[in-house]
Amino acid sequence: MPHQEKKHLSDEEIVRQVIARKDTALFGLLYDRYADKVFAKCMSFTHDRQSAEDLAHDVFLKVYLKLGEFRFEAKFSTWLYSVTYHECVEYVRKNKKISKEQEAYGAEQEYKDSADSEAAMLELKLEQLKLLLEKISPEEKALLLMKYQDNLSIEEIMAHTQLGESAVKMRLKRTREKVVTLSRTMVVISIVVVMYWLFIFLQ
Amino acid sequence: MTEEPNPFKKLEEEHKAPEGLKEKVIASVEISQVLMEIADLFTEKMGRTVLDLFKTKLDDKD
Repeated sequence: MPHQEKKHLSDEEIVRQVIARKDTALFGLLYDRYADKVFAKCMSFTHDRQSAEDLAHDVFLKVYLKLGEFRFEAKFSTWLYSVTYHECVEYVRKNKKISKEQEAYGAEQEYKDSADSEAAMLELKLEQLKLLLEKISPEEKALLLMKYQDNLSIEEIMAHTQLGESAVKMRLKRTREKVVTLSRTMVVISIVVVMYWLFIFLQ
Repeated sequence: MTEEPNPFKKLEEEHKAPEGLKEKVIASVEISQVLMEIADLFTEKMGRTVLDLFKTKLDDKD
């Protein structure tokens, strides 16, 4: 069957055929389906088109080499994103100094419960969100993207992060609260700066 | 009031994969495939051949 006629196949069926036949051209179909999403994720971690291109290249190559490890228990896309996040986090770790503040997940620290943190985070403007995602650690960022960009369930995130249910929920909650708190802090700082300049201007 | 879309989804739609990346990926995948087949030839298949050779000699003694 020519590859044109295989476009209706599920991702998992294509994976089975790629493994069985070592068909690299068929792997191109998987690339076509996910290239934009993988590249966008890489861009959100690297902020540089060339690095994102290199990273996306490495992700797809790694996925091909590890296809035999895919267990067909989750969706292929979930597994692909998990490989992508792993590579992205590794990239950031190698290329950036992570501050102590970002390193600390703060298991010992108590956070006040805020039921509206999810709603508040999802109301952020795109530019605000981009800025705030730079203020948290790559692991926290990957967790938020898994949950709110890829719509993964807690169980799927658990499988790909090797964390327990309560740990995933707690980290998601803390990360959301961190993002919301940072956004509010930024608003307060902006108001103070505007008032300061207004005061200077009026004098 | 229209509901604002999830900003995480908008973030995902901001960038498209560059042209030419697919060719690079497929070329790397093909080279890796050839290298894996060569490695396989020299490890598993070569190993099995050598083992078979020794086994045959031991069998001969019996």
